[in-house]
This record gives sequence, C-alpha cells and structure tokens, in this order.
Amino acid sequence: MANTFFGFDTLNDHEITYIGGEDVVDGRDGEESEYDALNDETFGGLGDSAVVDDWEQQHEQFAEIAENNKHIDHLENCISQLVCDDSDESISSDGDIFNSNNLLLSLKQSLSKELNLYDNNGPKNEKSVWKHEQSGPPPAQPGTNSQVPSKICTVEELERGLMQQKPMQFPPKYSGPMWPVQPPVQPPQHYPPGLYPIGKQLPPGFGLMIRPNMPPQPANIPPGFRMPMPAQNMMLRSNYLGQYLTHAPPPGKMMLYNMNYPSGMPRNNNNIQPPPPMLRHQQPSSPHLQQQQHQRLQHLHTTLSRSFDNILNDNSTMQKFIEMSRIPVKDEYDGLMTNREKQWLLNIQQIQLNTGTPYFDDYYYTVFKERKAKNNKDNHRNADRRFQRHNHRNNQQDRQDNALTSRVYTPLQFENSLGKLQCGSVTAPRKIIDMDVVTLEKDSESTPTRDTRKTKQLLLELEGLYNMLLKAEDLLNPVAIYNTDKLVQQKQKQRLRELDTASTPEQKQEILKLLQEESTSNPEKPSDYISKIMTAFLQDDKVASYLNIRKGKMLLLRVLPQILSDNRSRTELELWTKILTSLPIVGRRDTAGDNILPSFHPYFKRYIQACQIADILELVSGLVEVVRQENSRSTPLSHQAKSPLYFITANKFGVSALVTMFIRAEYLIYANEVSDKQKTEWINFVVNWADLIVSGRGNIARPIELIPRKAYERHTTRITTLTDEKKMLLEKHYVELV
Amino acid sequence: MNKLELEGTAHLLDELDKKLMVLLRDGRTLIGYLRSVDQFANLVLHRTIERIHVGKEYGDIPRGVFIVRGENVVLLGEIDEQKEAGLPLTEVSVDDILDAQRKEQEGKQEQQKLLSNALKERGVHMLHDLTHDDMF
Repeated sequence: MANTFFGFDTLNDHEITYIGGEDVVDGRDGEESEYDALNDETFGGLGDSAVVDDWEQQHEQFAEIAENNKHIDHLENCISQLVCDDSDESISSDGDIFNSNNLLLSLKQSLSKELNLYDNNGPKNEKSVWKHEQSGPPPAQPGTNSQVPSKICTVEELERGLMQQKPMQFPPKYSGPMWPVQPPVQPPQHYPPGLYPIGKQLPPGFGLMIRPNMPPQPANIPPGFRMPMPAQNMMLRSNYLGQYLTHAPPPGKMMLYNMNYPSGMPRNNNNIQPPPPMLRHQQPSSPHLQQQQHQRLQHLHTTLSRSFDNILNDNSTMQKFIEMSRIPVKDEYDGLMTNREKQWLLNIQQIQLNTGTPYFDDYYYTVFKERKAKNNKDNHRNADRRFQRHNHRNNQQDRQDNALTSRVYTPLQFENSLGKLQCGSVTAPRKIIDMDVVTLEKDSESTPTRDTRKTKQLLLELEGLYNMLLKAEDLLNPVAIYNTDKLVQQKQKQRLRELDTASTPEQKQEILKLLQEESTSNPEKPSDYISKIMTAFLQDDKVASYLNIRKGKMLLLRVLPQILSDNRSRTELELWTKILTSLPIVGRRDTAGDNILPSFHPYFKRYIQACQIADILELVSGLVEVVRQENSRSTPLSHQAKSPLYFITANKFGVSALVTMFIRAEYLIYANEVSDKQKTEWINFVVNWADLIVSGRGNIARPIELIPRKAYERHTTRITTLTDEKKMLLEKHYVELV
Repeated sequence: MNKLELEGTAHLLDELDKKLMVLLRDGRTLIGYLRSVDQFANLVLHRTIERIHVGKEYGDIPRGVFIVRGENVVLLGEIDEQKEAGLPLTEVSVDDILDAQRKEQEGKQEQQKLLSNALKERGVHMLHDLTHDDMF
C-alpha cells in the first residue's frame, strides 16, 4: 500500500503525526529537555508591559459588565428551563411536546416573575392573566398557539425531538402559513415550517401501517392536490431536499389515493406529474371553502378508514393492494426536469401554436374545433335527448369499429417516387431508396391501366375544380375572412419592417410598390369562381364522367347552393339537361353505391319552380331520343334502342325529377302560361312516359315526392289520348294516395 | 395541458421518468427511463439498454445515458413492467446475440445478391445497399 496519503504517513500508527512523516513521538521525548513550555509562543512577548497590564484592565471591565448582566442572566436561566429536555417529564402522554402542561406551567412561571417586577398587583393578576392557561391545553386556533412554543425551542432541540418521534408519523402536518386549513383532529406531531423528515426510503410495509387517526391532509388530494404545494415551496428553500420532497410525499399519498381510485398502477404514476403543473392554478381558499373542506376531510377520513378495514379483511384484495403498493421504487433520478422547465417547454410549444391565422396554419384542427362547437350548440338546442344519445352512440361505434378492424401492415410502396425516401439500417443509417424508372413497352398497356389513367385524369381535374370551390367558399366563410384579414395585416407589417431595414433606395421603392399592390387588392367575388367551375364542368361530355365518381357528385352538391338561379343564364338549364341525360350511365352505379343523386332533388325543384314551360320542354326533349346503334361505340348493349327516359324512370332521382316537372307543367297550364303548341308537346311527353311504364320492362323507382291527386286528375283529363290502363299505372306509381 | 381543446392529445412531458422503448431511425431499439425533453423532442434516456432482437432471442447491451436527437426517433412507447417479466422471448448473452445478428445480416445480403443477379439477367438494374455517396 501507499506509504503516504496526502503527505500523511500510513505505515505507522501514530496518535500524532506531523506533515512530513517524521516520527514525532520519539522526537518529542528527545527534545523535552530543550523545550520550554513558558516561551514566547505560549504567552506572547514579555517585553511588552502594556500587554501585561491590559489583561488586568480588561478583567475589571468584564467584571463590571458581568454584574450588570446578572439580571439578564437570571432571565436566561428561566428561559433555559423551558428548553425541551430529553427527559420524559416534560413530554406529555400523547407525545405532544409543545402542548404539554409542564411546559406551559414553566413558561407561565418565568414570565410571571418578570411581570411581577413591573406590576404591583401580584398574584391576583397572575391568576387573571393566566387563568385560561391553567385549564388545559389551549383551544385549537389556526396555528397561533402552536407557533408560540415552537419559537422558544431552539432548532437543535426540535430536531432532537423529531428524531425521537416515531418515524412512521407520516405525512407530517405542515403547520405554517402555507396550510390554510386546520383539521379538527389534533395530529400527534407538529413539524415547524421548514423542516421535514428526510426519509427517502419508506419502509416497505409502510402502507399497511397508516394509523387510524391519520392526518387528513392526504385526503385532500382528490379535491385539490394541495399537499405537494407546500412541499414545492419548501423545495425552493432547501435546495438539495427538493428532489426528495417532490417525491417523498406522493407515494404516501398514492397509498391512500389507490384506495379511492383503484385503477392500475400506471394511472397513479401519471398522476405524479400532472399535479405539480395543476397546482399553479389553485386559487387561495376562502373561509367558506375551508368549511367545505373540513366536512369533506371528515367524510373522507371515515370512508378511508372503513375501506381500509374492508381491504384488510379480504385476502384477495389485500394481495392486490400489496401489489399496488409496490410502487415503482422511488428513483433518485426522478424529477430531473423541474416544473419550471416543463412549463418553459409548454410555453414554447404554445407560442408555436399561437399564430394569428390558425385557419391557414392548422386548417384541419381549426375546422374540427368549429364543427364540434357547432355540434354542441345544436345538441344543446336540441332538447331531444334521444338525438344526442344516438349521435353519441354512433360516434362510439365508429371508434370501436376502427379499433377492431385489424389491418395487416404492409409497408408503404411507391411508384416512381419523386422525393427520396429514407430507409435506414444499422449498417447504412442514411440509405435512400433509389427508384429506377422501369419503362414498359407501350403495346403492353392493358385496359385496366387505361381506365385507371382516365380516372386519375378526371380526379386531377376535379381537384382543380375543388380548389376553386374552396376559394369561393372561403370568401363567404367568416372564419376564413377574419384569418385572411389578419394575414394581410401581418404581411403589411412585415413589409413595413422591411422598409425600415432596407438599405438602398431602390429596395425601398420595390417594397413600397409591393405594399401598394397588396393593400389595393381587388375584392374577389365567389360568383367568379363558380362560373369558372361551371364552365369547366359543362364542357364536352364531362358531366357523365364526373358524376360517375363520387368526388364529382360531391363537388356538384357543394356548388349547387352557390349557383344563383338566374333564369336568364342558360348554365343551369344546360347543367340539368346534361345531368338527366347522363342518368343512364350514372344512375345504376349511384343506386348501388353512394346514393348521392337524390340529394340533388331539392336544387332541381328550386330550379324547376322558377322555370317556364319552354325550359321544361327543352329539358324533356332530350330525354326521349332513342340511342341508335350508330351513335357511339361505347354504348353497351343494354343501352341500345332505349331512350334515356327508360333509365330515368328506373332511378329515384330521375323519377322525382319527372314528377317535379309534371307538377310544374300542370301548374303552368292551369295558369294559362302555356301556348297550345307547347301543351301538345308536353302531353306527348307524358304519353311517352306512360307508354314506357306500361311496357313494364324496367324497374320503376319511387319518387321522393308524389303528385298531388288534384293536380293529377286535372292533368289527365286534359290528356285525351291516355288510355285507362295507362292512367291506372301512372296513378299507381306516382300519385298520392289521398 | 390544461386546455380543454388539448384533451386527447399526447405529450412527451407525460412520459417523463417512465421506462420507454424508443425505436430509432437506424433500426436500433433503446430501452431507458426518459428524464428530459425539449422542443425538438430530443430525449435524455437514463439507464439505457440497447436491445437486439434476432428471431426469438434478444440480448441487452447496457449503455448508460443517451441523448437522442429528436429527428432520429421513429416512435416510442411505454414499457409495461409486468409484461416485460413474461416475455415469450429468451434472453441470451451480448456476444451470442451479436453473432446471431451478424449471421442474419449475412444471410440477408446473400439473398439480395442472388435477387439482384437474377434481375440483372432479366435486364433490370437494381441498386440495393449502396447509397449515392457510396457510388462516388
């Protein structure tokens, strides 16, 4: 081993060692004869007589002071009598060191002696002043009485007292300015503010040994998590205690917490973290609240002790309790991130969230919130509970369904990816998937790909139309308007800032120009966009293709409310004509799948009811043409030699459209707004329609609304060419059963 | 976290001091106690072990304290201690698992070689393990 450490001799056992490692003991013996005990080093320079005289003078001075202080000493003696002794005499039976009778009596005695010096009344006064003291321990006043004794004891004595107390007294009572509530039950122990048993490790069986008259503070946690708050404040004072304080109490609380919330352990673990941030939002309790808390405490107290007994009796729950009480052993490294740091992080993230324009920056969440709020408002207005329950149940079901459908995970696959994707491994962490374009020969292009290409092309076009629609809708959406205004303001501010920081005058000119442009932007109208959409929609034969795709139908559905029914524009007429003529192709698919077409009906109705007979006739004329074989290669066999009317009657929307037109035509004829020629035309159409039904080949759909009987009667009497049979059939399918 | 509208959201701060399994972008799996996070989701992991899985075996390499740059995290999840105790996998020593891993890698590489050879014969050129940097 080393001969020396830090210069100390390790080899020999010496009582005294000198730095240098020399053996002084022997040296001392040798030098004793030469060593003069009364040398200058001991007593100072003898040659200086002033020093010698000084000590005599000083002694005189001290004696004077001592006599003066004698009186004070007496007081001190009295006070020192009040100091907590180790002896048991001063400690009362219940272990209360501050409220013991002896203590108070001695206090009274010493203070009364002092008072006697100034007061002539003597023993009488003594009695009156201290009368209530003699009756017993002081009444429970919020903290004040307990404060008095604590000030008198010195800190060391208190510590000694603490150590003597059972270490199982846990958690302590935080008697002090922080704890506003004074529980009615006097806990056996008072801890002065600022001190806390530094017990990191609780005995393992601790949870089972909570005494029946435990301090009710832990029970406060369900209401408000107050306990850790004083702990936190103390943490700020006592630095190194901080980490232990935040976690020493909670496990104890969790013990009781478990009994109230017998959920799994992870839940409890969670609760350690949220409470501290929550605490910041605790409001100071009012006296009323204190009262409530008193009651709550008492109630909880009783229920806790009862449930505790129940648990102890039951073996199985006992086991569970033991398991639950084996809390993740207190980690010394827990709480490395202080609450301040957490709050700092949260603030940063909240700042990131706080843009002035959430509609643009966080569209989906903003819209979701809006819809939810609207839903809630509607639900509140709807006194109908069934409706709410139904909705709620639906939502729950959806969630459940999503969770249950197990999906087989297939990793993402891409075709000709433009952006490089990363697919790292241990050996090559930054590997990139390098896609090589695989060019197939053009001849081998199969029909499925052609179809998919077509669909993709259509989808692309629809996307473009949707963008315009969204812009049009945003012009009418108040949230969007607000956000755009804000965005404009932000931009202007930025430009101004740039203007300030711009160095050259040319730059300034540029910025000024931009500023002017932006501020005088032309207000856009939604109708501009809508007309653009309609033009695109109605070109060629796109209507049929768009309506074949769900997205197209939805687009139309959203555009229709915005179309101003202006009878002078032919757009709407064209639109409806095209829709109806596309029904043969679109109708079947829609009935089998999406069923969106019937929702067009209200718009059609709105249009027709503003129509004149001429428009209706135009609409109708296109429907009767029979598709001939020469027309196009793409008509399937089933469509040949059949008029669109055939398919229209088979479709719910189609038949509803016919009914609507029927009603309107009857009205117009009745109102004498129809010329004879037009009337004939219309009647021809109706006959055609009836013929079709009679031939009875296709399925006949049920219209959304039926023809009122009166109107039907009137109309059919006008039509002389209708046979009874046809009349019967028409009646059967389309007329109200009044 | 107090905002009602943030209900149903997850936050890394809720995962502090928990035993987590973190999957990194390079494929490594780390298990450790999350001690600290920041706004970039950089993580400080304590008492970390790197767990290597090969088939039904796994091996743990103790690593100590890890600071992980946020962008390299794929996902992370809580570890249930009880379930940890009842894993259907067998733990082996570090050397064994590294051996097994190496063998697995070699096997994969050989397969890839065969595959790319076969494709080359059919006229398809496929780069697999090489990155752009490796080529130059």
